[in-house]
Amino acid sequence: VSFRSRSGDKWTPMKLVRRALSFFLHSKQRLNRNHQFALVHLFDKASWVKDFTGNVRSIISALDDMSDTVELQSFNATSLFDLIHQCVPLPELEGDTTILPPPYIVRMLFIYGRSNGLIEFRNKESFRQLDSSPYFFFDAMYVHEPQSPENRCEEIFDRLCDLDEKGMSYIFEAARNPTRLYDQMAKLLAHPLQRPLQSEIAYRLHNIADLTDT
Amino acid sequence: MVEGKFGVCNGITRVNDVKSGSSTLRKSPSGDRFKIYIPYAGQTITWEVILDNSCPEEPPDFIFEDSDFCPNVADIKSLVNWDIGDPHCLTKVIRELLEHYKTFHERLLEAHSRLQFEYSSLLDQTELSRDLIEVYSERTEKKIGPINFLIKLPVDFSDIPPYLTKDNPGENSAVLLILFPSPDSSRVTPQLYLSPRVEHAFGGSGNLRIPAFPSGGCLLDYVPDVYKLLQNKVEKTVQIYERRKELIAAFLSHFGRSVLEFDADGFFDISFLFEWNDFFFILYIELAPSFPQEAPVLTFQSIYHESKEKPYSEVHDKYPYSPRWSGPEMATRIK
Repeated sequence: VSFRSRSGDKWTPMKLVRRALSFFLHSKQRLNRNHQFALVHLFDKASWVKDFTGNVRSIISALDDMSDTVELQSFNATSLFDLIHQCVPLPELEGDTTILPPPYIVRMLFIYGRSNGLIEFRNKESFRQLDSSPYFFFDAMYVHEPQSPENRCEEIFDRLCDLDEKGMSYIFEAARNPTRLYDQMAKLLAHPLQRPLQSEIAYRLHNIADLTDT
Repeated sequence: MVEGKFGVCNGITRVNDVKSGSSTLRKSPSGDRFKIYIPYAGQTITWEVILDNSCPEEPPDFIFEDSDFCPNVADIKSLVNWDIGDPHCLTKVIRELLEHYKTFHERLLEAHSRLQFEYSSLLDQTELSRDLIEVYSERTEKKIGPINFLIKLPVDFSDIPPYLTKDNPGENSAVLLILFPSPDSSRVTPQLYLSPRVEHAFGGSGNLRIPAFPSGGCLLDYVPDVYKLLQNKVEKTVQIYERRKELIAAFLSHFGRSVLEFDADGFFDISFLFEWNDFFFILYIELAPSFPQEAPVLTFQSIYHESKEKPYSEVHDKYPYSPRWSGPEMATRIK
């Protein structure tokens, strides 16, 4: 999994995201020790902060070291996907791909915190190349101000959903609600090759009375 | 034409061989002499094949590493009937020669009553046929030894769980290599070799211990014992694998829409995200190798609270459980 984290314009969301990410990393590692994580920071352009590692603590320290940034008008998605396409090798399709699992898959977890910065995506070439692999997945977690006429949250969220061209992504949003953020991040723990489609997910346990009927 | 023969040689699979090894070649610059390395009885024997570039219809000459091995050319039918047009001509010769080589080593045992007894008793009194056993004796001026017995055990591996890997793991086999340092030694050392898929199913090479060769014992007793041990292990492994798979499948059928991850190779664990009254938590279910004797371990983990810098979790392993329940029943009860 590689994280793209865009710090918001206040410090509280950043701390919240850091804590949620920390839970995510620990839990994900508990699910399977072999998972590895890389961290990419987005400022005016994307930069690789930490390369793939299984060392969860080092990612968390790198996160803690990231300073808050100033609000920018828009975010350049092209530079992000160019960087990822350049730096992340995807496994080749080998053997009978209907039964043979790949050695690993790559999932991009895009964490975006701007309520006003539109996502600009002029050149989709790198994205298309990455997305054409069955072993690449794009997930997103959008943290934002409550929706109001003064911000463009809805528009931004729609743009994010547009990136789900394959229909396999998990795209969540949370408006400054810590519990909801943790819940959504937990849903993102699901392995892309094993999880149901976002439209199919159901986590609620029913009443005890219901449990005895099957 | 020489290149053509090369192709033939490279394509040899050791069909007549007890193990699935294959010969490799190295050639000298002239291109019509080369060496073949053949796995035999735990050793690698080297034979040099000499053809003649200028008259390819002539059958090859051979130089054997072992100077005592000198079969009569007239006995080697495929050499006598050497047909350059047959793409398998060299393969046939090698195969015949290997057969003679095997007989040569069998004869060497005749001079040592203990070894001869070991060999013939294995052949006569167990289900092992001659093509499953290879013997090799290392000889120096003064003495003979160590002597290798390589035995392919006819274990039924057909139900072994699949090993999903892009490299072909090959056929399933178990081969026992037994070393006698000298004809009358009592310090006999056995070694078991398992093919990749079998090893994977057993959970790694360290997981099966064969008993030491009893001093004063004989192959006639020992080999069938190892065979039975293996066969039992296979059956047990298959059974518990199926139980795990059944349980994981039952959980998936109840809770598939809440799944986070599960082990789709060995079926040792599965985890879910559940919501109870707006409270989300993660449940890890882990199966030990001793399942179903040992109950699955359930670990509940919080996504909101921490303890010692890690998410807070609680283990539950004392709940009503019986190994006799079927997979679906267990899943329902754990619910």
